[in-house]
Amino acid sequence: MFVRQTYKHTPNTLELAGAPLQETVTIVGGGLVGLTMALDLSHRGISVLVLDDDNTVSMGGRAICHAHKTLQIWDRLGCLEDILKNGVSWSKGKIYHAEELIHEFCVGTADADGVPPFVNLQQYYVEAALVDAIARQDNIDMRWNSKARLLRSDNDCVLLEVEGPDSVYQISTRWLIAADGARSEIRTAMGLECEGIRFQDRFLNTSVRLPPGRVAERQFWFDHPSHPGGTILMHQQADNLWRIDFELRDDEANEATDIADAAARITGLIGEGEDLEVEWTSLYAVQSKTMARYRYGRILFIGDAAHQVSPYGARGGNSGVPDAENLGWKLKRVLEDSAPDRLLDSYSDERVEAAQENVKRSSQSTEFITPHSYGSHLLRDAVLMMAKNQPLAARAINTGRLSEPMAYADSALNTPDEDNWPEISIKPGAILPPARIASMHGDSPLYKVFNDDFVVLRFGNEPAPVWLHDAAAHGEFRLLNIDTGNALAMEIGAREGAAFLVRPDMHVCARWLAPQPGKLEQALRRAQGKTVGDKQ
Amino acid sequence: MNPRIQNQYEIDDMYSALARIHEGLDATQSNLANACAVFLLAAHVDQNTLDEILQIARHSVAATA
Repeated sequence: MFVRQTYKHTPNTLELAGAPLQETVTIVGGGLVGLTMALDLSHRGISVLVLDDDNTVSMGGRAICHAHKTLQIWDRLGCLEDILKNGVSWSKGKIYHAEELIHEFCVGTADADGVPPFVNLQQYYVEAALVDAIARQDNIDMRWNSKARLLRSDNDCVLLEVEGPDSVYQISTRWLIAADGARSEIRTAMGLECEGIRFQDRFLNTSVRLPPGRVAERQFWFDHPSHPGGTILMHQQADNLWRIDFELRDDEANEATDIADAAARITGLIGEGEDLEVEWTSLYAVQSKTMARYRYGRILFIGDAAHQVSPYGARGGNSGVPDAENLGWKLKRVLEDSAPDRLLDSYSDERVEAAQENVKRSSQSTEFITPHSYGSHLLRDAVLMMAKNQPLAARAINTGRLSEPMAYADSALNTPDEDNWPEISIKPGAILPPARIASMHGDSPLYKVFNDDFVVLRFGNEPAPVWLHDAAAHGEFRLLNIDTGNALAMEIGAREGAAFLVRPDMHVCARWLAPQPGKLEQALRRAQGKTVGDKQ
Repeated sequence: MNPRIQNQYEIDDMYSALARIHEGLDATQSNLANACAVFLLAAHVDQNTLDEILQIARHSVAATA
């Protein structure tokens, strides 16, 4: 069972004196994404200050379904073990029309690299694991009960006023990362907004404890007899708690949704005779929004502060965490002057593109789940009716297309192809698939190779050319030679001698059938914003 | 928009086939049958053709309003 802790920040003398403090990187917001950002930078050797206006981790619902890429990132940051220990791994889903099972699906397995495709865990558990991991780092200054207010921003720094537990003081920081959630006060203070859609549909969100023994799978109902005209999503969390979300009909939207009402709805779904304890309920409206860009001079927006989407595709936290990783490796290089600060513009370009994709996918799911016209409803019903017998219709059932890593196909950091590649090969911008490779320590997951370096994956049974070894020895990248018989070579269409330049976040940024020194050097420069590449 | 011309079926046979699926159906069932047919047919035409057909359909209905 989760035991909530409260955290205390003991102010130092400078804070108490109210003297302006100088910081390099300050993160406002100690939620899922802000904490991940702090750990990411810390692991890259960057000292960070985190300001959170509360004294504990989040309450209630929020992100519960954490995807493969997110889990890989948390493993790199040293907290996956805690998350897997408490979380519920799942890979199968079932969709019902009324009470009839019309479609089953599988989202993959952990076979490829040992990381489950999805783990369900309440956000407060994840945040607690992140806080524990932060406590093990000596370069993160975590200040609870510290509310930040933006005073001004210019070319040199960002000035904040902080209302701490015992004093009010100012911070001048070279870079400010706003991770202060959907209602970001930093964003509001700058007069900026997220653009998109806020749907009128209302959902009742419940968390209920059920007796153990149920199968951990994602279940979704259209028109369940207990809830005609609406949808229900049921998902397991830790501690035998289940998230059950009901789409409310128009005539229900204004009803009080107290615990007894929620318990009656849940009994209608699972039947009488099961002991159930409703932990909490909440109402929410779906919104799909993003800011137009995430970088404003020295202020960078990440997570819900920058974008919000429907919870049905698990695209909220699972886009915020990759925001942090994308920004982390770039900000580190800017801070150490090994890359120009325009590299940070690519953070904005790439992650805005990812958010726009999420907004689009999330809006499509919302239209399927809650059709907004008679004709749309008719089409949805037609698809549900045919789903059992028509594979095309089954594919069209959209209960939330689950989060997948974005391919940055248009990134200015990519080097355009010059070779003719087979269609199956992984393209610049795409992320490496889950895989295992042979290493000095035996068979290991590919993702564990990646931390803060660029990596050249060179495929071949013959030794790599001397110049490639020399370049790697200069520390510009790490060289990984992979046998062409490896399953990864087959999967990404790599033949003898082929090479892929891969960024620290595992996105491919260039590829060659036969790499040459000058080309590799140029691609490396381009991938770090040192040469201005046109968008492809 | 260019007028669509059929090139695969004899037009009256095609029309009859479309009309026949509604025999014995009430309005709700008929609407659903149409929706099923549109969904399945959409998978058999290219994106440009689909876009054009949908535009014509929408435009034709809008013109009656």
